[in-house]
Amino acid sequence: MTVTLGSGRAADPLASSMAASADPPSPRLTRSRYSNMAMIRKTCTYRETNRKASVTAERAGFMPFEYNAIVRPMQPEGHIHPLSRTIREICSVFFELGFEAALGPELEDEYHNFDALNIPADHPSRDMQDTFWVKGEGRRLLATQTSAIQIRYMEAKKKAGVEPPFRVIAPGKVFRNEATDATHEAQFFQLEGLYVDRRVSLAHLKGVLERAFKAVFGDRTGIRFRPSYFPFVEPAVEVDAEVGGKWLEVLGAGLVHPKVLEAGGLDPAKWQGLAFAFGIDRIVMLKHGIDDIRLLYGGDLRFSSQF
Amino acid sequence: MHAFEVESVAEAGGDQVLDIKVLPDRAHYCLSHKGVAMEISILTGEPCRDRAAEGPAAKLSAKPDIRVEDQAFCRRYIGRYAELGGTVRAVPHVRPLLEAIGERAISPLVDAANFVMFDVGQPLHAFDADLVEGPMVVRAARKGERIALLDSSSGAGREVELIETDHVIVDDLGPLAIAGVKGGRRAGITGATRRVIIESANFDPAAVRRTAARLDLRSESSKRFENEITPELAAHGMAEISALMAEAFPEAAFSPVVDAYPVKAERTVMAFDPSLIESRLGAAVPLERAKGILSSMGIGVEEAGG
Repeated sequence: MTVTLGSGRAADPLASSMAASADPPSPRLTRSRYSNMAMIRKTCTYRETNRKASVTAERAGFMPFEYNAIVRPMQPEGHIHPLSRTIREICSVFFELGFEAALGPELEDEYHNFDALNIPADHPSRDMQDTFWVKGEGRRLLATQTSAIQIRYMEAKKKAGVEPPFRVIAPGKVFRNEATDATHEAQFFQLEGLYVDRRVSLAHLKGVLERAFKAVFGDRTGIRFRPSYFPFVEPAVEVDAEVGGKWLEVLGAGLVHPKVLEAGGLDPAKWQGLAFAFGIDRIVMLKHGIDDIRLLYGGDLRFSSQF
Repeated sequence: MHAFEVESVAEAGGDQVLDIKVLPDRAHYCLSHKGVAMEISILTGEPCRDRAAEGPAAKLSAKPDIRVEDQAFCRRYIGRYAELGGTVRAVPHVRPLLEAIGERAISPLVDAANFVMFDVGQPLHAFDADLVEGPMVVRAARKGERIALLDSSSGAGREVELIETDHVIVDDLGPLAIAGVKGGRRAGITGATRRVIIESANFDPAAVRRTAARLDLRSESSKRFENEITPELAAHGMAEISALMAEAFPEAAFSPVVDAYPVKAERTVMAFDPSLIESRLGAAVPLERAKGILSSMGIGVEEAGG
């Protein structure tokens, strides 16, 4: 935004404060001149700069308006955290595929986080996650996986009398009682996906995930499935993505276990589903070359301002 | 390794040690060398070497007196006496293999029991028969019963107090072991042991897990029981340990086995429509191939008409 003077004024505001050029003051004050002034005031605070600039401008006979034009170059800009940005990117890919978004509570109860997901008490599958149990009434805990939101979503749809097909994604923060190091944090983000329809197969899963990965990592990414186990899907797969010529494990997925469909109020003979959960932190670290997951939660502006 | 993540491959004594992640769905048969070997055999097409042991013939006449009171908890209990005899021989492969997987060697008898557990997946236990008074009973613990535990990792074992959801093997004097979890000090094997009672049993998974968690006593033994191994394995375990002990103690004499097996494990028969495979995978698997995969796992396949 350029500010033009009405009449060509003689006094050059900079001449007194620095041994500037001997050029006659030009009637048209360019933006660079304002920037110069702003740079001189670089160490001042925003308000002080504004005041000083306004005084100088007045002395020079400038119209005391548009001081923002002087101080704007110094105003710090905020930065979207890479986790937020990646979540939004992935969400937008799925919105294009007709998915809607849902959120769930970080303070969950045992039923939604475990029992409804086919992880009964006294069963070794409980050992797959180290849980933060919350003292006090009720069997409450910090959500160990976003899969609990699948149950909540299906329950909500059932309550509202809405039948499948469903397509929902649910980003959320999850908590694991683990020692922290460069690749492990006690809190991290997952992005859950659930698709329920009449006939769903692993081929659908591959198609959906391939599309999502290409959007995040570029067209040359491929994905592959390896057989694995999670209590709430059957069959279960680990999904590897080819990133920078290497195959890396990026998410777990599978066809929704009939018991989970039942817990969601659906008849597994009629409906089938697929589910997946991205580990967002890992994707962000791969995409941006971040080598320590703890940096994502440090709250250090020197980190997030790089994005 | 297909369904199993291999966490590392390390060199040890001219051979290689694979560290394999066994997830809960496969833990009922793959927490053992034999189970993993079967998987590798299926994946590579290499046949498994059949080396099922034949137990030595029984020379002693008296069988141990063992009664199972809680049959819901203890699905099978096989026991036998063994008189160790004078000589001890180091069985060449036992110690190096145990050490290769990070297990400490303790004594010939304990090592043999541990070896068989890691080899075939059946946890075993041995009591000093001369320190057992009267019949052995497998039952739920009574509130307040105490037991001083064997603790081979530190000098002195601790004493724990039991509640009704724990299960014990007792004699006339009280608890001898926390069933499926940990043995007691009183009838524990020592250098002076001359006669043993060998136990190869099967216990309810949820109960073992609950007790092990409550007392913070998770062991290799409790881990296998809590993943629901089949009671059929107890017989193989007893045959293997008997054969291995006959090698380690050349003068050993064994009694016949006591086998309390009230409800025999039934073969599960599942009926399913093969078109389910294609509809779930989204890819075709020829029927012959599917049958081949199932048979190679020891799962019989029959085609029903129609």
